[in-house]
Amino acid sequence: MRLRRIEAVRYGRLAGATLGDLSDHLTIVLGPNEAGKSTYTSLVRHVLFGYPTAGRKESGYFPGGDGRLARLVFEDGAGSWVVERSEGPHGGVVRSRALAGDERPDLVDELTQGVSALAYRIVFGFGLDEMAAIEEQRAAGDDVLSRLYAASAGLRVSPHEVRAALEKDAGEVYTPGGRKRELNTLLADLRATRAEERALKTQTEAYSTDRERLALLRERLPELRDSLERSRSELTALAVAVDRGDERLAAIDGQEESLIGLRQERRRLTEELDAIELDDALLGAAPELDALLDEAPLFVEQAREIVASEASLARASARAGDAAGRSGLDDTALTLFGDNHDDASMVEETREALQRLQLQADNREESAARAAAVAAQSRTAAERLLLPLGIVSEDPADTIAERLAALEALESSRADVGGRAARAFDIPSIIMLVSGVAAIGTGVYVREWITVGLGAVLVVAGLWFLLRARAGVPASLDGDARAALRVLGLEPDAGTLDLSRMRRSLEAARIAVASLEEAIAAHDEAERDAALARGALETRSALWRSWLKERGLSPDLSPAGAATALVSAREARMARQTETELREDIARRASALDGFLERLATAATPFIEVPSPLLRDALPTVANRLRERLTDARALAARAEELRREIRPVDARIAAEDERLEKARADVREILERFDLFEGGTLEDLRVRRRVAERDEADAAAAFEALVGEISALEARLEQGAREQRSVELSLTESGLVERVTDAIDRHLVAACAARLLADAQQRYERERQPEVVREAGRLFSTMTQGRYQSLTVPLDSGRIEAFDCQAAARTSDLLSRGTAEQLYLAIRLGLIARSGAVGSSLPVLMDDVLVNFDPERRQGAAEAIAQLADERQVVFFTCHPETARVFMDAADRCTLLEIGRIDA
Amino acid sequence: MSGSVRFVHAADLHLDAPFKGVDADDPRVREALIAATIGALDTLVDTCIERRADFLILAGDVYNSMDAPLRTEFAFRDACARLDVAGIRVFVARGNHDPASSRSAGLAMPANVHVFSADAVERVVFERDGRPVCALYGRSFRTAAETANLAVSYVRDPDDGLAIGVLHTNVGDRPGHGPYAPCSLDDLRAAHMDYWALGHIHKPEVLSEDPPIVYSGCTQGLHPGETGDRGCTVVTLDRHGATLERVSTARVVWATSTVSAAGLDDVDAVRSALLAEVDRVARDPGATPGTPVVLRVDLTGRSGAHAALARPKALDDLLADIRGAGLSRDPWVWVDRLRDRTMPAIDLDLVRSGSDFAADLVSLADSLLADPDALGSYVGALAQPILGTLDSKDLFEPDARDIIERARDLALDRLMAEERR
Repeated sequence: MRLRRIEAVRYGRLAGATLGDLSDHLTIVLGPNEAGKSTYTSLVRHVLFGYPTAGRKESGYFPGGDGRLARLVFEDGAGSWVVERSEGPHGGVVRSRALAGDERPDLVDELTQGVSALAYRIVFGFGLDEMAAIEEQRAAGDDVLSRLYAASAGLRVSPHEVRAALEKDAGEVYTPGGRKRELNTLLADLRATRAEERALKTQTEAYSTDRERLALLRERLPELRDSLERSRSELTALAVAVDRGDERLAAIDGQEESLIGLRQERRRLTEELDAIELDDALLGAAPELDALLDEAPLFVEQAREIVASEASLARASARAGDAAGRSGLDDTALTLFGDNHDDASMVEETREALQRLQLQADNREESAARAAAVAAQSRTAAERLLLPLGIVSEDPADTIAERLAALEALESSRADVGGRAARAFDIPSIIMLVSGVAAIGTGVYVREWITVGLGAVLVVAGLWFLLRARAGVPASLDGDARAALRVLGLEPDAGTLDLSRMRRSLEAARIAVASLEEAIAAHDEAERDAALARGALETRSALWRSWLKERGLSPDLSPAGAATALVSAREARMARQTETELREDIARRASALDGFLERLATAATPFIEVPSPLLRDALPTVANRLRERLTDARALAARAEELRREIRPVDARIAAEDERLEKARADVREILERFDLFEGGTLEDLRVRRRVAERDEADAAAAFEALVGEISALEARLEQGAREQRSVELSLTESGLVERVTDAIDRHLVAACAARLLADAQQRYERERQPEVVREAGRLFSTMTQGRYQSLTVPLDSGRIEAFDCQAAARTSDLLSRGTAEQLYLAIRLGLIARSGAVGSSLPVLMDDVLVNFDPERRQGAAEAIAQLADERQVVFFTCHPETARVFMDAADRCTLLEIGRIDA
Repeated sequence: MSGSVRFVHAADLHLDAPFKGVDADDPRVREALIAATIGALDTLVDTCIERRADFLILAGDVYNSMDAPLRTEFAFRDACARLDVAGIRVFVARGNHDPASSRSAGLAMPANVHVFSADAVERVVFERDGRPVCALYGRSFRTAAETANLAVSYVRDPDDGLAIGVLHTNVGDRPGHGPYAPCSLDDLRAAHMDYWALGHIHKPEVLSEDPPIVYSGCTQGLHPGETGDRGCTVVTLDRHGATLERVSTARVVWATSTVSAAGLDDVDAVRSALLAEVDRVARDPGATPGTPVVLRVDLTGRSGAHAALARPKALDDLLADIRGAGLSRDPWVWVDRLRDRTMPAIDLDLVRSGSDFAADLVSLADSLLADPDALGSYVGALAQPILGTLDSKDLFEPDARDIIERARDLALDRLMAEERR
């Protein structure tokens, strides 16, 4: 496949420009400066690999207006295709389409397979810029060969560069003999940490003496503790023994003193007991005397009550006499009157009945008087009404009835006459008239002549009745009416008003007469009632007088006086009853008291002096004297018993103290014997031994305390040292450093291995693939230099190319002139392309005036070499030098010349 | 002898053991790590008191070394004194780290502490209110190199109502652990104990349910490999059996995570994934909620961020950032190590099938990986000079395969990075 045309639709200064048709082999494009030769070279690369994006140093070839758009047209025997790249992200959008033949959507990938953009720029499409850049890079020490190498190996990055970077990475961690590398720093830190740890350990070792001393002291500690405990135990035993011995001695002294005191006490009690004389006869009679003395207060009280009862008797007798006097009754009446309940009831009932009947009679007489007054008033009122009417008869009621009947008759006759009086409007006549008119109208309307006739009849009748009503009938009085007027005392011309007035007067008179009759009847009734009440009162008074007579009382005695006498009679009877009862009680009490006085006198006479006879008044004195005598005798007996009770415990205590005293003496002997102080030993000997033990214990305690103090001091010192965490921190630091060292070594090894893998791969690549390239490049270089240089070599790992001249003298590339160096690199490019096999086989090789620095001979040689390449590959050579074009035309058998002009501004 | 007992079984306190393999340059983390083993002891004592235990069994390796620092001895004595005040006895069997031959300051322990004899199995009767409740059988290591089977000398007294065996041992000769006092499960069962309180294996494990044969594990993880729950076992034992309850005592929890960077194209996305992992760990650090975590993270997977992560200092910067975020969590999470084990987003098979330079590189790495001897020589030649700078105790064997694979990926990534862009 070959590139046939290059079309710049919108690309830099090229707009609508087309370059073609290009030859399958060598095409020389001759054009002046600013004809777009370099632009075409870039265009091909950009369509295939993408437009430069922002940020790239390379020119973007942006057109003035719309986005970039360029096409390449390829052909082979199967057809032709256009590859077009338009503006878009990430270098633009590329698409391919068939102009002839089948579609090949992956055409760009097929064309560029195995060739990177960089490789293409350096090997397939280069110009003066790239040639100049090579020289500039050489000046900067850049490894141009490695770039060519990488490009030839299908890599964008030179393995040399990658390897150098990896070695640099590895070297930053570690380089044999290198200083200030990461690993060295870490190892230095690690060594310093460990040195400090060792120093700390040495310092810790210094504590070992303390620790050993501490262990030794701890071994001695139990021995000293045992010694101290033994001393303390012995001392404690001695101290206890001495204390107990002292205590026993003190107890013995105390007990002896106590015994003396006890025995003195017993003697005193015995003497007091012996001095007491007891009255056994009195104590023997004491129960009987106690019983009498217990009764004595009762009888003393009875004597006092007898005196009081006698006073009460006198007062009761006085009250009875007084009440009898007040009642005014003799003894018989006094005994009988009011002795039962009936008398009191009779007196009370009579008193109430007489009062009630008297009140009733008074009330009825008062009612009769009021009825008489009412009758007189009614009479006056009736006369005041009757007189104007001229009624003076005995029976005015009949007269009034007669007149009212006449008045009734008169009004009846007047009513008949008054019913025919003239009226202005007669409603039935008017209705009849209107109905007739309506019937006529309706009959005419419906042509019902019968209705019209009836209507006419109604109209005529209505008119007649109406006129008759308006005319009226004249009134006239008959004879009955005139007679009635006379009965009534009215004038014949008396009108309706007169009649009405007459009626009202008659009605009022009739009512007044009726009231009068009723008042007279009421007065008569009241008079009868008053007479009846007076009779009842008289009857009841007669009955009362009769009852008094039956009781022998004065008939003039009123019920109230009878009631008073009744009360006084009762009081007299009650006083007499009380008097009787008091007399009986005094007699009974006096009898009992006298008996008691006799018994008391008999019992007390042997022990105290008693008056004979023993009177009531002497009773308290005798009883008190006897009681005192008994109390004294009993006190003496109690004291004697108390003394005997006190003597018994004193005897017991004396026995116990004797026993304790003996035991204490035995204890002292036992204590002394326990410490081997038998005969002749004393507690003082024991005290001496205790003082010795105290000194021993103090010595042992001091030794123990000293040891404990030393142990505590050592522990404190060791603990102080132990509290420091430096060694732990150092251990942690060491751990961290070891980790970092391990990590650094890991990174170093990975980077170093990666570099070595690259180197080994490079060696293999150069060993197995490079010789053909170098040989072809040497042949081409010889052609270009007209045999001045015969061959090339690329020593492994040198990074330099050696050129051998015809004298077999080797010159490294950095010693070649610029032109010769460019010829060398052109030869290598051509060699790479020639031996690249299928890689980029369809890509055109574009060179932009790369022979400009060649002398004519070398240019000729280079043209021949390029012409040879064009036999195998499509080559497009841009130049602005006609001479160069002619050289190519001469050198190549199949060469096409295309001339292009300067692009218009 | 009857009734039931409640006791706390712990072992392998390794007080003041230096933490290995951790790079803690934050003061807070350093302080927490330094105080961790002693702090775990405090928690253990608190547990005994809170659960009203009758006694505490420590089945060996209370101290980390035969020459235990004084501060450690003081700390242990203070802890026992607290238990003494609470009326809780302490039964200690010595292990390979703190055998009877250990150098000691000879500090006097409180009266509640009983250390089992190293001469023979010792039977101690635990009494409550003057009445025997259970018997404890224990034996201490005389020296660190105790290789005899001590379990066979445990014989239960027929009169024991309850019997507990205490031993520091490697049951079943477990690989990776010292072959100290080795024995078999059958040896332990033959002693007819009601409960075996074992020490030595740091990971808690119940070897047998009936009778309970239990490794309570260490009270505090001592290095990044000892991840997850660490603590003690609270045991309620009676004639009918035992009830076990795990209680965490660790003051710092170790954790490891693998974060896949597959599908993550830049460092920002990787950072987000790492922060999410830190949050996850902070919320759920295993069986010890509310405990600070020391976390190790490996980034894995083919990732577009591989090249960015492989840039010099990139991983260090990311680690510093994640550490800062982790320390701001409550409880804090210290990302101790962040390893980049990502691979470039390159189809190795496709590269391998080519005929270019990259294919040569992959082919070369493949040939090395296929030949362990050549691989060892290849990496060893490069490692020898740098390893020669180390002290003997710091020497380690590089993982040649891992290094070559990462070196291949690194070289490919550098070579093809621009290409892929």
